[in-house]
Amino acid sequence: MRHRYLASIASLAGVVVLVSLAVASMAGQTTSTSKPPALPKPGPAPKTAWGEPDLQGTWFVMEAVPFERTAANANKPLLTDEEVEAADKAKAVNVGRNARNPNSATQDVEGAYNAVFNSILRTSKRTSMIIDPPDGRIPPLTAEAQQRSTPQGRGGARGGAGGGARGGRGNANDNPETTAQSPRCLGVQMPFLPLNTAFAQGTVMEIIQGPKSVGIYMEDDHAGGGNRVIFLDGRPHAPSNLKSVLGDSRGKWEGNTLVVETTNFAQGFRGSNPDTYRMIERYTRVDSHNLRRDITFDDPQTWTRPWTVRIEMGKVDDSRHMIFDSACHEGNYGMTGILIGARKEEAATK
Amino acid sequence: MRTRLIVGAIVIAGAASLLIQAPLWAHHAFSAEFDANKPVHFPDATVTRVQLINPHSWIYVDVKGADGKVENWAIEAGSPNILMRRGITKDTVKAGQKIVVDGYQSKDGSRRANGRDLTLPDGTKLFLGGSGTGAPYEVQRPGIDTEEK
Repeated sequence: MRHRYLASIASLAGVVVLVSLAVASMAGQTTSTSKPPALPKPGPAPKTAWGEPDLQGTWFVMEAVPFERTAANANKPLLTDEEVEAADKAKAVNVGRNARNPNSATQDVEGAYNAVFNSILRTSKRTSMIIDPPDGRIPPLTAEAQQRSTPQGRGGARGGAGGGARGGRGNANDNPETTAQSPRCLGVQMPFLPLNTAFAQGTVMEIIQGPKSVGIYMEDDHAGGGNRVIFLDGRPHAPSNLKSVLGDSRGKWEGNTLVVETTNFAQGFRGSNPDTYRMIERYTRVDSHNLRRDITFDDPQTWTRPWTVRIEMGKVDDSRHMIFDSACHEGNYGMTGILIGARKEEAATK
Repeated sequence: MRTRLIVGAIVIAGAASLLIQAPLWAHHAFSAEFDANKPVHFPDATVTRVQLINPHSWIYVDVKGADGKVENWAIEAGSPNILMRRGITKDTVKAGQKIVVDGYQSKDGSRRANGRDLTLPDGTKLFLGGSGTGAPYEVQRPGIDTEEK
């Protein structure tokens, strides 16, 4: 008996999802059981008029998948149905931003808006976006990349976080050139991953397709979007000295999958060297309602092996299947407010 | 033994709930724009205009100052694309509607504030989806996505 209780405690301590179940069951006395409508039943994958797989439409990331697998889920690529349900119950009772911060007004301001302004995706069974390596973790850095990431190494030609990357000079809010990418309306960055699904960042994109090129519009929360054009006509990549934030993409069909190689990035990804970093995407329309986007990150100067994430996107009804007007600069009164605030602070310290 | 088990479970669950309920961090520095030392509370604001625009929504309200004079304030709110997908449009909140605003004034002292909490006079959250968002990919949160609490 005693051992059984001890085992129960150990499993509670060891498995976060079960802990969430405990939270949910305690707080769950007052929870609603209202469930959202079921997803539509998919049909076969359609083809374009010219006979290629049709990737077109507006696609959403509809489930939350962690980027890397946690230690608690080591060797466990999928959660059980019960664990998914427990995680969703815990999310449902989370007051999130409705809770004011009673201890720090500054942190309360940083919390910005109440919970109505975020969207909580249902939990996926998958425990990591990374499908290769099989452990769901980013592979180790090369010795060279480790050297680059040291303070001494950082002084070298790393490629930097140009083109509106978050960072630059420490997110200083006193200068429009150094504030973060988002309040500057600079749009999305590659690789466009759903890392912050509460604000629909990296979760929505629209694909328009022709025989010679594919256009992808990536909507990113509120900071403007990103337009990519992927040429399918066999033309070579742009010269290596031509760099851009979204890179230079070329695609070709391999069976039912569109394989896109992107190079010429103005900035690396997770410390990669933009001169040697490339991204290979594989777009497959699984059926009428599902699109699979696999992305392989390859930089022999940064990672000891290429690694791949899988992003599954789906369709729901058209009323929610719209891209929001990305016009961001026009209404960006926040930038004015941020800069005026910085000037006020400067004046106060003089 | 049984008591110890329950205590243990509560301690673990309590720690987990702290983690789970930690507020999600915003994606830009709101404290650079709004002054934590200037909280505003408008219990009787009247909506005059709603702009569901990127990067942030703005709700303009008339509020009565201490001297009885009516002032128009601009209240910054979250980004509109998520609201749109939850079936919330610019017509959801109409001119003339009474709302309660809790937030922080902008650092420049102008009549602008962030709408940290926007509620209706009966305490209901503004923009709360009436019968749920109906979005099959979202977790339904009582009191946030549905009116049931």
